[in-house]
Amino acid sequence: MRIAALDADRAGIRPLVLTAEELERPFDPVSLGDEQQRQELATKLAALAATYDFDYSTACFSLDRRLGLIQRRPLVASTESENRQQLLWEAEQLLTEDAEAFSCDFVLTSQWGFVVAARHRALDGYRTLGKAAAVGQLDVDLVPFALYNASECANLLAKDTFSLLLYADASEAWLLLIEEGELCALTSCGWEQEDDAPAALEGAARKLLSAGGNGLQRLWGAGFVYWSEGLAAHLGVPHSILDPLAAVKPKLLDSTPPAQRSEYAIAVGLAQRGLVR
Amino acid sequence: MIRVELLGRQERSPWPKVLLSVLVVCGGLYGIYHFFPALTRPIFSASSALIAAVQQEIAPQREAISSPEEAQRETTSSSEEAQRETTPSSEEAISSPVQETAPKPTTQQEVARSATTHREATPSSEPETASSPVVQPEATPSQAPSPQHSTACHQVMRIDEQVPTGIRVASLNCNSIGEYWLEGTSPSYKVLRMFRLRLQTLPSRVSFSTWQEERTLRFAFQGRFAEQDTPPPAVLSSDQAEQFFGKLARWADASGLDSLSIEEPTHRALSAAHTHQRQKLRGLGSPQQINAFLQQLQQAEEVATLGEVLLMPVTSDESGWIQARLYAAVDIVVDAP
Repeated sequence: MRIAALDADRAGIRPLVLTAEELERPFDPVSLGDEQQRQELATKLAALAATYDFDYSTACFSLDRRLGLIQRRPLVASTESENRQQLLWEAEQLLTEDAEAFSCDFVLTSQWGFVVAARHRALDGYRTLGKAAAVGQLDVDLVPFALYNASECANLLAKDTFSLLLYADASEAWLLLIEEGELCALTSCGWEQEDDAPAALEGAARKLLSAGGNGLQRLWGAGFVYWSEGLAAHLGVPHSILDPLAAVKPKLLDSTPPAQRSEYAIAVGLAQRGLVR
Repeated sequence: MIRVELLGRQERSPWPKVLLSVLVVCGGLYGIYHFFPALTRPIFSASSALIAAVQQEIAPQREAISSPEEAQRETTSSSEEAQRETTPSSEEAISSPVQETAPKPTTQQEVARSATTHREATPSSEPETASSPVVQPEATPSQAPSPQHSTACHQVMRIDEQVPTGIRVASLNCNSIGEYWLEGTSPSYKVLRMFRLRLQTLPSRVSFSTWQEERTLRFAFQGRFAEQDTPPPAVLSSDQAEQFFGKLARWADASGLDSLSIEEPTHRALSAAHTHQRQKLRGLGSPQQINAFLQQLQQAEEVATLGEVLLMPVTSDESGWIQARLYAAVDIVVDAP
């Protein structure tokens, strides 16, 4: 579990804490659904706040990869409200069960509509955890959007026509195709120990690029950057480290190298959401 | 910043505060008027005089609206306003999704854990999970609806007849400028290749995207039919437009489409003389029912263009889809009032 606590004042945004904690059991839907495990998580969160001297007045959790549905759809209507209405209808067709069991929202870019849905029941698990951990203002977000927000707040986007963002963890990864600073497509992939992780990553990347990424100019890597370096070499594009704190004044940062900070890209993206209203 | 709100909108509406402020001010004024009438009488008497003057000014205008047409127009606009008021905003609609009485699509589930790429179109059936977060249809979005008479959507819908046995279509989406997006799954590369070859024989440019997900071979095709040099659609009068949309609803009903939902037509000014009207229709039907409706519509292609179509099969078997959700937007050009 990675935690980023940020603070904002006149001098700008500064990191308070970037820390990773090993959990005895994974922070997943099962642990959220089990009262005892949820309580253990809440206790752990409280202990971290006490250790590092921060509070959860505003906190944002990333949704587990299995809990959020994201569907990209072409925008067919001419106005935003019509597009939202159309996407809502499409979402209802995509959701195999009663649409009321889901909380839905939409991300509209100039070209695409992204339908986002999560089960109310799953979200309730986060609400209960938030209550147990004394979170003041609770929020949840999906990993790809947190990654995008971190990159945008770090002023890393919009420099290239097409760029690929990759966050790779120990067994899963998220990839975002960005066109002139705007989200164009996204995907994720996972692998088990015996699987060929580079092949899975390359397959996911090629799929994204086939969705319209001709002329990829850069790959921004975060997390375990050796995966992204390998992928960039395979794709034949330059690799850069996605440092989520690249826009923070250097005097406010410690000596942690950018590659290590990139492991907190998602956590920083989540925290940014609480700072930018 | 991308900001999705899954826990509900967190910004509080400013209206309660505004309302409270207005009430406080009114209460204060009332108190001053009640206890110190001498101070406030000039203000209230002045405003009363102003209101009376405005009312006098408006009265003759109201009387001037006397012709039946204008009276009807006024009634229509007020009923439209009333309808707008009762129609939930997009945000409200999102926070409480519309409950349709129609049966929900059946499950087309894919278990999403593999060493290969994830791409789930449907949520997992596990009680607390939604599905893995990812997607990829393709291509550029549609342009503003063209006032040109276009048969592109009808051409695209015929793609459905080209689908080989074994291919499962997840969605077929098209617009009047001939762009289309087709997604689905295939049992093998061989079948998919056959489908690609068939599509390549059509007068359209097609780009293909295929990938393996678990043991499922998924595809997403994007294409565009060449634009045809067609004459503009005939311009209808307001009455004819109303009659046409009435017919459209009857055709949909007669074709046997189920769970029909037809919205009020939307209007968009094309020029000083013409407006573009769009009727959106949603329903559920078998291939025969949907084809019957589209064929009926095609017979009216001189006046109406199929602006957008989205077909989302909900039940399928080896031979193809059995029932699908249909969204169709029908465009006409009408004399400006």
